This record gives sequence, C-alpha cells and structure tokens, in this order.
Amino acid sequence: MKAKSPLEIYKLLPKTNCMKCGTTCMGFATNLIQRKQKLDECPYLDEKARKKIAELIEPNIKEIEFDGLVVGGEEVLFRHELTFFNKPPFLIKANEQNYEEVVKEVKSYKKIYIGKELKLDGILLEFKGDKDKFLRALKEIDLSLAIVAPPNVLKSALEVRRTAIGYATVENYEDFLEVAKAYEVPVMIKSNDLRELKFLAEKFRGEGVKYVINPVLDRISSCYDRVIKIRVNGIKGDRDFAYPIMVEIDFDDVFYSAMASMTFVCRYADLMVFREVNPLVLMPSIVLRENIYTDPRIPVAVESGLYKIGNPNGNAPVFVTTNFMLTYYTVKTDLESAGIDCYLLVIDTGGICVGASVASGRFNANAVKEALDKFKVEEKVKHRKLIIPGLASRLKGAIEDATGWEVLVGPVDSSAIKDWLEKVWS
Amino acid sequence: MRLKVEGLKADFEVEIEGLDIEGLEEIEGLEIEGELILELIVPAITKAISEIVSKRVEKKIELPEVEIKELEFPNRIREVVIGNTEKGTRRYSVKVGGKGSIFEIGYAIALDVFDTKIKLPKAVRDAYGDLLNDPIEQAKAIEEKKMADLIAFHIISIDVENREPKEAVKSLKRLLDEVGMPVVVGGCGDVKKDVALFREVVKVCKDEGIVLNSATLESGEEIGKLAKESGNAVISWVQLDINQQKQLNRIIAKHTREIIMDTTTAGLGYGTEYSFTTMERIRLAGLKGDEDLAYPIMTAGSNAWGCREAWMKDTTLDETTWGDRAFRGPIWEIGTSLVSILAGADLVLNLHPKSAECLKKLREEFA
Repeated sequence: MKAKSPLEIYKLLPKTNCMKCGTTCMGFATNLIQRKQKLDECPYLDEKARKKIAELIEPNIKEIEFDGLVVGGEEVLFRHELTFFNKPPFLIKANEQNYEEVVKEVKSYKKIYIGKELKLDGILLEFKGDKDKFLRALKEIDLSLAIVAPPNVLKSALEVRRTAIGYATVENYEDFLEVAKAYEVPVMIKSNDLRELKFLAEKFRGEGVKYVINPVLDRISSCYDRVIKIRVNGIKGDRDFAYPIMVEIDFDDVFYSAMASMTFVCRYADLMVFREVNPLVLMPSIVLRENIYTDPRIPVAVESGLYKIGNPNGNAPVFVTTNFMLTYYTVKTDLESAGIDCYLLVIDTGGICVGASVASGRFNANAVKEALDKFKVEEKVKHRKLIIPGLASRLKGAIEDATGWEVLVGPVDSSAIKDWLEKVWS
Repeated sequence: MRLKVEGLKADFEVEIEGLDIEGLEEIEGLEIEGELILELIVPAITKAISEIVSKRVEKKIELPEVEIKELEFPNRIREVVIGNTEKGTRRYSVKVGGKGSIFEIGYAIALDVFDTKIKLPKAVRDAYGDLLNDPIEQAKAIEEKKMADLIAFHIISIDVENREPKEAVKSLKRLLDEVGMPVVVGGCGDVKKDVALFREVVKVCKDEGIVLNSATLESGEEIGKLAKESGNAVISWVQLDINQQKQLNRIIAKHTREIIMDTTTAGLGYGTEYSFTTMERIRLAGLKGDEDLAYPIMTAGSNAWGCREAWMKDTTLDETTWGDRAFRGPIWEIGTSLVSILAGADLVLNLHPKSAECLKKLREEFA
C-alpha cells in the first residue's frame, strides 16, 4: 500500500463526517489503511477521488478475484508487521472423467476447529481430452474452480464459465493473452525459471491482464527459493512479481506432500492446489492456514465468564478453563458431545492456554477466586466443588485455600472428561 | 520426457529418453492407422517433434534479466558448537546457528530419549518396540542407524520416581560412555528439581559440550554459571515473550554465550500463531542487530504429541476422518517442527523416528 498515513486519504474524502460508512471521515481513512473497511462504503466519492484513493490503498500484492475466490492482496512479508489478509484457497485437482466423485469429496471435507467448520474451497479442473465432457463439467460443478486446458479448448470453456485459465508458458502465451483479453479473465502463468516468469509477467501486465504465478513445485527447496524471491521482490516494488503465487502439490509421498503444503502455507502461497482429498495432508494444512492467517491485531481469546453447557441445575459440575479460544472451544465441544450438563467457568489468562498460563502464573488461585466471585457461581450451584484441568493440578491446594471450595483435578485432555466424570461425580 | 499420442484406439504413452523439451505435452492431430506397433509410431512422433522444435527455434524468445533483491540483514546469528571432540569424548560435533537471513533453512535434529519409562503415544511405541525398555539401547540404535544428529536425553526420573539427582545422572554417565553423539540433557520441568539435577549433571559431563536444557528466568543465573564452569552450553527457555527472552539471555550471557534459545513451540494448531510469530520476531531482531537475541533457536517439535490430532485414534466429532494415526502422528510432529524451521529454528527435538527421517531428507535438499 502506497499510503503511509490516514491523512493522505482523508484529504481526498468528502470530510463531511456524514457517518454513512459508520464512522467519521478520519476514522474511515484509518480503517481504509488498516483494510478494515472497503472504499465502496463511502457513497459520496467522485470518480477522480475514488481512483486516487484506490491507487493509494492498493495492496502491495495484487488482489485477484475469479469464480468466487479471492487470492493475493497481501501487504507484508511477516504477519506481525500487519496481518495476512486472504487465506490461500485450497483447490483439489479434478478432470472431466472423475469430477463428480472429486466434487463430492471436496464438498464433504470438514474439519472442526475453534467452533468453526474449515472447508475446502474448490476445484482445479484439468482437461484430459474429452471436450464435450469437459464443458459439461464446467456447467455442472457448483464449486469455485479454475481451468487448466490447452488454448484451443479455452474459448468454448470460457463461454460456459469465466474463471482463471492456465497454464500459460513461454511457448503458448500468445494464445492465452488473446483469450484472456477477450474474456477478461486472469491467467495462471507457469515456469520453474524466474526469467521465463518475468517474461510472461511483463507480457500479461503490459496488456492489462491479471495473473497468478505458478513457480512449479518440483522440489520443496527449489520452489521455496523461487517463491521467496518472487514475494520479496514483489513486496519491494518489482511490479511484475507483485502478483499472487500458487503452488501445486502433486507428490506420491504423503509425508513429503504434507511438508510441501505446510511450507507454502507459511511462506507466501496465495492459492494452493492438492492432488486429492487426503486428510493426512489437508488437516494439518487447513489448521495451519487458520493460524497463520489469524489477525495478530485481535487477541485469540473469548470473554471470561460462566458459560452454560446443556441445561445445568444446582447439582451440575463446574469446570474451570482458560479464555484461550482454542482451549475454550475444545473443552466446550467435548462437554457438549459427551452430553454433560454443566457450567464452564472461563478465567482470563490473557488468551493463553492452560499449560503456558499455569507456567507463567497467569492461571493462579486468585484469578479463579475473582472469577468465582465476579460471575456469582455460588448462586448457581448448591455444591462447592470445582474441577480444574489436569495441567493445572499443581494449583489444587492454592485454589482450595483461596476459595474455600473443594478442588477436583480433571483429566489432562478434555476428551477424557466423560469417563472421568462418571467415576467421580454422582 | 513423456509423450501422449492422441487419436489411437488405446491410450498410449511412450517415454523417450534423452529428450528434454518442456511444455510439450501433446501432439494433436497425429493420427496413425493400423496396429499399435512401436516401429510405426516412433518415426511419426520424431517427425512431429522435430517440427515443433524447429518452430520453437524460429520463435527465439529473448528472456529478460531478472534483478533479484535479497532481504538483507546487517547481523548474523551466533554459532554454537554442540559436542566437544577434543576435551570431551564426543565422536563428532554439530554446529547450530550462523545464519544471515530469515529465509535460510538449516537445522540439526535430535531424537528424544527418556531416562525412565513414560507413557508414549502408540505410534512411537510401535516405532521403537522393545528398545524402549532400555534408554541406552535406544540411544545406541539411534546412533547406529544414524536416525538423528543428537540425543535429547530427558532425565525425568527425578520427578516421576523422585530419584535423587546423584543417582539419576548415572544413566547419563552410561549414555556418554556408550554413545558418541552430542547430547542435549533435559530435566523434568520443575525449576527447583532441575537446578539440583544440573549441579550433578555437570559433574559427569565436564567439557563434553552438551546442552543443559533448560535455564529459566529463575534458574538462569546458576545454570549459566554451571554451564560455563563445566564447558557446556545452555538452553534459555522463556514462554513466548521477547522481552523476557532478552532478559534471560543477558543473565546467562554474563557467564557464557554458548546459548540456544527455546522460545516455546506450540503444538500445531494449539497456539501456532503465537509461537511462529514470536520465533520469527526474535530471529528478525537478532538479524537486525539485537545481540541479546542473536542466538540459535531450538524447537521442541515433540510438543506436537500433546495435540489430540497426533495421538487420538480418530475424531469423535462430526467431521471428516483424520486418517491413519501411524502417519498422522509423525505428520503432526513434522508440521510443528517445520513451522519453527521456517521461522528460523536451528535445532529440532523430535520424538518419533519417522519425523526425524523426513526432516533429515528435507534438510538434505536445502543443503
């Protein structure tokens, strides 16, 4: 982003503080810089000002949209410098022969993580030679997709569905250029040679065609080298390389595939393609993607408080845990799926998990006592028993002294709560 | 290269050795009638290829020069040598650190060995089998099969069995006598017990160049001193806090600069955003010139085994099956380690031999 301060934007805004966007003009300018609001939210911009502001706030790496997907749009090399914005969509390869089955698998894939359902994003549809079937697939697939097909198939394909096309190489780029211009679609350019990529980028950029760079994942190390060079130079002002990067993971070895995928989730892939729906590769990658694209400006915590699980009565057990979002959701989900009616007392550990907050002292007897008082737990239950996490066992005595409540040490992992509770709670 | 010929009744692919043309995948319109006889087809293919090649030669593309800017850093990370082969009895030593860029990838690998029986995940029990009955035999197997560069020996008996430190270090002595690999010696995690332990540890490993794992803000002063006096290195462990990490490093550095930092590694998905970013920031600070943070980094990839995705049989929730845990466990550990490696980690601790094997293979690529 070119703009360094909100003032540069503010100058170009109406300065009427009409609040139509929900805030003042200065507030809007600040939010535009932090990319918390979109330019369209101001209804009173004239064309000239809009264009100028759009230029000022354009991301360092171009943001490209196709078929419902948004890729790129990044500003920084390291997430703590601001945040990463657009999670790389995960696409699975399919072709006109096998797409029905693959689409089914892609749709049904689901990983539950901190109260969210993590899903796959779409298909990379490859042409295998049967044009009629291919066109039918394009019509039928109701997921986002990108197309890989030879130039002579592209026109009819784009008549059916406008989306990103590939792969343009040094040999065939002229055909791609023609089609991309005619149909106004982005192109996936591909080479394992930075000079070829630069050549292709210049050609497409020169004609105003958007593109995604595929530097070829032949081996993790050599692809890593190219990806780093492309992204560092893109961020540093090389306009040809200031475009989204994609990697295609297509190895037999599941361990190697997982390593490749996780490497490029951390390092700059804006779009990722997988050979198949294999949970061994996808689950760690989809969780890691969630982590890396978490906004560091927002703490990963839930509000402290007394949460009801199911329909607890006066005899219901009271579990204590931290306000680290993942801990909270994990414990909550386990209690719910075990069908336990209870209270969950969430104490403020600054969004740190049980192990670390016990070690650092943030999870302590006083914090438990404060939460007990603040959320009036003694009015909710008749008994005076608290269940603390197994990892906090060393605090048992201290919490009993501070609160006067009896403390039971629960299991280390909340998945074991059900069995544990049956033994200790009647 | 592999060439696909269309227009034949059967799907047909031929491998042509020594032919190196990228981007050529199909020759359209190549029709051959008659039976699938190789002698018949090959000349046709050769002809088609030569036409395409000559076309390409005509095109003659002028590729632009790419001016690559590197992200430059004024400082280098210090280098720490683990394992003393001259004054001590180690067979070889391992260098960690020394990097000049956040993007540089390189790391040593240690496999965890515990001095007494501990509950281990099934995947790990299966991988080691009976070797787990004797930690020294386990370490010897790791050495013989070159499964790792170092042994991370964890003396936890002082906690789980309340063994006296003096008694507990006997197994370390045996390890040093029977295994020549460089060693990282860990305690049980209880600061008081660990200080008492390290007082004994240094007596049996004078000048071995081992790493004491670890010193904390409470114990940094004494463990730093013990390390210096005994000719060993020390791990400086802080929970995800840059300022505290600086503070502890300074305390230890009064005695020795043979420091490796454990900035804390979260198991994949359980705080990875914190540990990745903290490690990255610490490494960047060191590279930008903060000498108090310009030390190598250790990552306990083994922390992955605390995550249920690593050890549980399968999910109990309404979601896609997690996949075979014999693979999933090591993958979770590899992922946990790899995230740190990308953030700059120079020394990786792993529990499962398969994790070490995969990371070793990856390292060879980057060498």
